[in-house]
Amino acid sequence: MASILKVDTLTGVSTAGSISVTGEGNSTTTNLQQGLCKVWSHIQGSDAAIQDSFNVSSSTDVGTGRETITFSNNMTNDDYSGQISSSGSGSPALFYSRIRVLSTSQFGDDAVNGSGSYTDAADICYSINGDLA
Amino acid sequence: MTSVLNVDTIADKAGTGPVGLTKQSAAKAWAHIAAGGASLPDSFNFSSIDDDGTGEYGLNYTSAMGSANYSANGTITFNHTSGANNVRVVLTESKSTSSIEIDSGYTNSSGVYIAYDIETNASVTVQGDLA
Repeated sequence: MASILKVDTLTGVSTAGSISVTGEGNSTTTNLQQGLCKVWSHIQGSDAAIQDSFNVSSSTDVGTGRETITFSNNMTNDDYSGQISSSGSGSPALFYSRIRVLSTSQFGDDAVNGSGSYTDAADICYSINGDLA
Repeated sequence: MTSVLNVDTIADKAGTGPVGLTKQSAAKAWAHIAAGGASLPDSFNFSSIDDDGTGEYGLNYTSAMGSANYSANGTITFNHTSGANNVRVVLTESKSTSSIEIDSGYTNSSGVYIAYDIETNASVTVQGDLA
C-alpha cells in the first residue's frame, strides 16, 4: 500500500537546511534543498509585468529588451545558476536572451536580436538554482 | 496545527527508492561557471570542469545520471551592449550519464559560429533522473 506523509515543513536533523532523498535509479542520494528551484518567474517583455512567479517581489522594465526581477528572499551569493528563455521574433530572425544582472537580490536579462540590438521579447521565463541566504 | 518533520534522509517505504514530491521535481545538477571556464565558483552534483579548448568545457557529474535523455539548459552573461560579435551563446555539444559537454561562442556578421571562451560567467542546470 502506498504511504503518503502529510507535513507542512521539512527540516534536517543534522543540518537544518540539508535533507537527502533517494535518486530515481535507487542507487544514489541527492540533496533535496540543492535541487529545489529557488526563484522562477514568467514576465511580459513589453512591460515586465509578472504573469506568475515564485520568490519574486517585483519586476522592473529597465528599457527596450531589458528587464530585472527582485527577489523576496535573497540568494546567499552571486554564484548561482540562472536560466533565461524568451519568445520573440526579432529582426534579423535570430533572437536570444542573455544574463545582464546576476546579484544576491536581483536577476535580469537583455533580449537581443541578430544585430545585437535590444528587442522586447513576448514572454520571458527565468529560473534560478543555488543557495538561499 | 503546523507540523514539522525533522529528518536527514527521505526514501520510499522500502527504504531504498525515491519518493514523489507532489507536482514538483528537483534539479539534479547546476553550475555557475567562471570567466574562462576554468572553475566552478558554486555548483551542485558536478565534481569538476574540464577546459577542452577555446569555448569548450566538460562538466563531470558526482552522481551519474540514469541516461543521456535528460534536459539541460545554459545561459551566458555578457556585458557588451553593442558592437560586432554581440550574439553570445552557450550550447550543449553532447550529453552522457557521466558528463555534459558545453560550448560557448558567438555568431559573426556572416552568421558563422565562432568558438570563444566565456567572458563573464555562464550557468548550466540539469533536470532528469539520477542513476
